[in-house]
Amino acid sequence: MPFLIRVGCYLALVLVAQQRVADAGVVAGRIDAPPAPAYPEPRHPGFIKRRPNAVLPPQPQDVYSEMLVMLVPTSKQTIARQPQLAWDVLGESFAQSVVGIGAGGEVLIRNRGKRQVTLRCEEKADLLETKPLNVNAPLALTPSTVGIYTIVDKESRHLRGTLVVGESRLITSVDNQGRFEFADVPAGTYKTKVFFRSAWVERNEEAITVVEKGRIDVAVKLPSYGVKS
Amino acid sequence: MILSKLWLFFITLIAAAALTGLLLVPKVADRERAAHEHQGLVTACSVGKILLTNNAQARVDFAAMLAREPELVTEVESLLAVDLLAKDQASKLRTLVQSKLPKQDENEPDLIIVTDQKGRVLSRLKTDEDVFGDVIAGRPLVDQALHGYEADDVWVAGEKIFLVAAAPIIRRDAPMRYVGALIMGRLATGKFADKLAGSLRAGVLFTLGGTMAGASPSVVFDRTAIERLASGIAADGDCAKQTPGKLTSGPTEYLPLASRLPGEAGELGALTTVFMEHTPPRGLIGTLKAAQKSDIGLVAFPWWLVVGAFCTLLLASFLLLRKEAERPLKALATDAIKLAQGDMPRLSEDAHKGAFGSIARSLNIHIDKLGRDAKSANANLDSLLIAGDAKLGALDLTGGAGSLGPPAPAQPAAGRSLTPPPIEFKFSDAASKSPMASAAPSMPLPPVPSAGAGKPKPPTPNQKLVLDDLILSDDKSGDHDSEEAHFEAVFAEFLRVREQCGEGAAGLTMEKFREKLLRNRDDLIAKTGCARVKFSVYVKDGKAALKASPVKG
Repeated sequence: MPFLIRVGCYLALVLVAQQRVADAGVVAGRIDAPPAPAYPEPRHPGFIKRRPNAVLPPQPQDVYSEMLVMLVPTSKQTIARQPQLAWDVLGESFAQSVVGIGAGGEVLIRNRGKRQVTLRCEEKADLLETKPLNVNAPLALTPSTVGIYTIVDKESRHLRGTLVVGESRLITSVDNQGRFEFADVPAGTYKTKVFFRSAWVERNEEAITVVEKGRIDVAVKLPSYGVKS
Repeated sequence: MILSKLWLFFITLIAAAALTGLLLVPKVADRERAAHEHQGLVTACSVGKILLTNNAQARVDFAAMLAREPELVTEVESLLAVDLLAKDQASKLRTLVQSKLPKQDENEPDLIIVTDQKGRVLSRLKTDEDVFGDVIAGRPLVDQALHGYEADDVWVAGEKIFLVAAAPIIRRDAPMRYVGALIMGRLATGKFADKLAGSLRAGVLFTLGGTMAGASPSVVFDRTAIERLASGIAADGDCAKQTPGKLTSGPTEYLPLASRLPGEAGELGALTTVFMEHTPPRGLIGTLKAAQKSDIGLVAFPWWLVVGAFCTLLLASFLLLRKEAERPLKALATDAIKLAQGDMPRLSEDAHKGAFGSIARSLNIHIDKLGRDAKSANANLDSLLIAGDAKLGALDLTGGAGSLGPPAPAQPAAGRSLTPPPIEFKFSDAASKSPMASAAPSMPLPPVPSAGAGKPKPPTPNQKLVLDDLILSDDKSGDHDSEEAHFEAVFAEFLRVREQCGEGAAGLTMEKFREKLLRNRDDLIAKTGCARVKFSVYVKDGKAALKASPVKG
């Protein structure tokens, strides 16, 4: 008997979730950013100043790889449970230099490199346990406090990534063309926020209204790469 | 003598200045040497940075040249689509890169890495050749190369320091694009330090924390001392502003000047240090010990100056000594001899300057005093010899040759010669050779009355009676009896002469006469230091008189 009750409850939850998904809309868009600046000089240059090669113009910064877009509901919304965020360490860098998740979401850091790393959080030491992370070993953390956290390797200071914990669980990265998409956005009104490299960009946050089963294309204008704290 | 005093002051001043210079010069030399060492270190530090910069430039050029190899570009491009690299593919690429390296080049790299455009390692050469497929994007140098820049950096791997450079691998055929990056590096070892040190005239040391990664010459330093090197580094890295530290290896002390290596390694505390052997301050003794034979050679050392100064000072000293001491002393000695010989009654005070004139004046004063004392003594004896109404006559207590000589021409008023007595004096000589004796013809002695003789003839005025034989016999005996006999003989002679002079002998007794003679004898012995005193009778102004003369020996 208890088993049947448990199965019944599960089915009811699935039906409710499916109903919500069926009611959700899609928000897609593209960030219209100014031309990307040149790749920055290293913080600790070598003996000589870097020089561009003589064949092909240097590539500018891949600014989109350091951007996030977040939809912040202006009214109380019930948003589906966000999936686990996987964040890989690839040797001397993270697969994405900037990742975002809503408060309470789970982040799974995986060491895909060929050496052991020891990660720590610069802003909040207790965010993750500082211990050696073996090759292919996972490290899960669930940040509950909204904020911007820098995760670095103790040995290789160039190995660093930024974890953005937002007040909304609707937060996603953009592709190398600046495109983004939120698939399951509950109907309602939202504001769009853009994160770049280390802070939220200061801009006019336009309001968008999502209707059930509808699709909204948003053009997010980024006047500059200026950020606000 | 003022010149002598000034000269002594001058010489002492020169000696003090020379001693000061002698003590000061080593200090100045030590300070100059320390400054020279520091300057040498600063120069070595600056030149070392230039050499390392040139070396980095050469590495970047080499990496760019290697990255432009068409075969390498083609091979890398062919691996872009391969998700999972095979060992053979990595090995093939490694062989290809190896074939492009110059043969037996002393600058041969210790590390070469080839990556694709995402920073995935396609192949490694020289170091960790079996490791590939990992991603090294994220390292600033690799990211710079993947974005199209040629640059250099300093990496740390374990306790090793790699001086690395990177260049992008570019497909040159249309469409042109970045396909990967090539990284090459050299280990900062003793061999590399040797090459740098050869151009610096200083040692070179690469350290990471307290660990030595490479050094030239190959010396071992204390870990703690190495860790302290970083404390002297200036914020802006300017060699001239940096403070030299201190390193020791066994008994040898070194002066190091450290600089932070750039790039990743610098952030982790990697340093490059130039060092020189430090010579501690030597001081005076150390400086003298360090002098070599060549330092005092005729060519290297200004002997002419030393010898010239020595001769000049010596000559000036001799001349001054002669002028202010020898000549006046000689003149005073000559005058003293003349005085002794009776050629001059007194020393000439004006002829002698300064202290010598003072000596002459003092001697003259003493001579005058002696004269006055003798005159006084003579007067006393005369007064005493004549007791009551009788007079013993004048007693000449000048003694010595003076009493026998002629009156001093320079002092006729004194009535007596003050010339000193001859060294050898005998009454026989005095009688035969003395001026008195020579003057005998002008003053003939009266004949000595003999027993039974007739009325004695009155003596000639100022005639002197000499009792040589009697006195000499007394001198030879030298005892009390002979003296008493002498006194009696003198007394008898005195009475005889008084009678001859018509003075009579009333009231004159032998006891009084002896007492007076003894007193005068004692006075004269005390004044002249003579052994004995002889008395003689003579006629003065028509009266009998006594003369006392000191006898030496």
